[in-house]
Amino acid sequence: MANDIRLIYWPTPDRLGMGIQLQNLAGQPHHPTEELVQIDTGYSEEILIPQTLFEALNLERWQLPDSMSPQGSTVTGQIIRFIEAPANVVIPQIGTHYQVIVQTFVGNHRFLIGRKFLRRFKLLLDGPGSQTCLLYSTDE
Amino acid sequence: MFTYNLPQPLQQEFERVAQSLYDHDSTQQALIEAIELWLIQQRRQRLQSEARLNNQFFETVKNELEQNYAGQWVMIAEGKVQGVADHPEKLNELAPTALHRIIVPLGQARPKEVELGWQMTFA
Repeated sequence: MANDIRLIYWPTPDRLGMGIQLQNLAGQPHHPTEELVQIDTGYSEEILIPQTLFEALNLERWQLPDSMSPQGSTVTGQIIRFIEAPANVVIPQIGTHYQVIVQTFVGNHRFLIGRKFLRRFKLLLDGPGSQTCLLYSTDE
Repeated sequence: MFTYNLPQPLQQEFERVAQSLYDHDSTQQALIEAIELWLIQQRRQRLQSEARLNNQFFETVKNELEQNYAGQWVMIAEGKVQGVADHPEKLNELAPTALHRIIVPLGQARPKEVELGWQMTFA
């Protein structure tokens, strides 16, 4: 029997994004409902969060060891050492949650969804409709 | 309510700068900000100290943990192993007063390099 496929969408007139809520492992949410977070397919990992959000969620209490942290570099040659912690991402509109490793670095202000997180989903980037759509199965 | 004496030059400079920045209750507002900043600084120093201790300890036991607990999550806090579990949430209640804890998914490969997109160009 075929799965029942549903579609939800977020209006994204400028930047493509998904509405998510981030929670630390004790269940503390970063936002009361959801925040539209920009998709960046140039970023290879799951979720990049601002350093202030990392601190606000007390993610230092679930931090991965420094020696396991990967490095990155910008096109200008700046070397970045990441700070990482496990956390949960909730998509409130479909009521699902996913355990991820979130990353930040000193001075980071960006909140981005990267390729590794996107691999879990079927997404439709609807340019003419100015929306980002998520296709999901009700059997999931 | 508490009363303390400051060195006179420090007090005069503090009041002068506070009055130049705030219209009302200038000294009180500046004092509140100063105390808040001091508390943040103390917390940050304690956090860094705990992080250094936990990371140093992890390096000394890393191989042993990998051998004995592959596939599990280990929590380190206060410079020692606090517990091992199959899910990280099961370790939440350990070391409740620690500001910094390490949690390790043993046996899981982590990337060595992260690609940053164009977003980081202007970071």
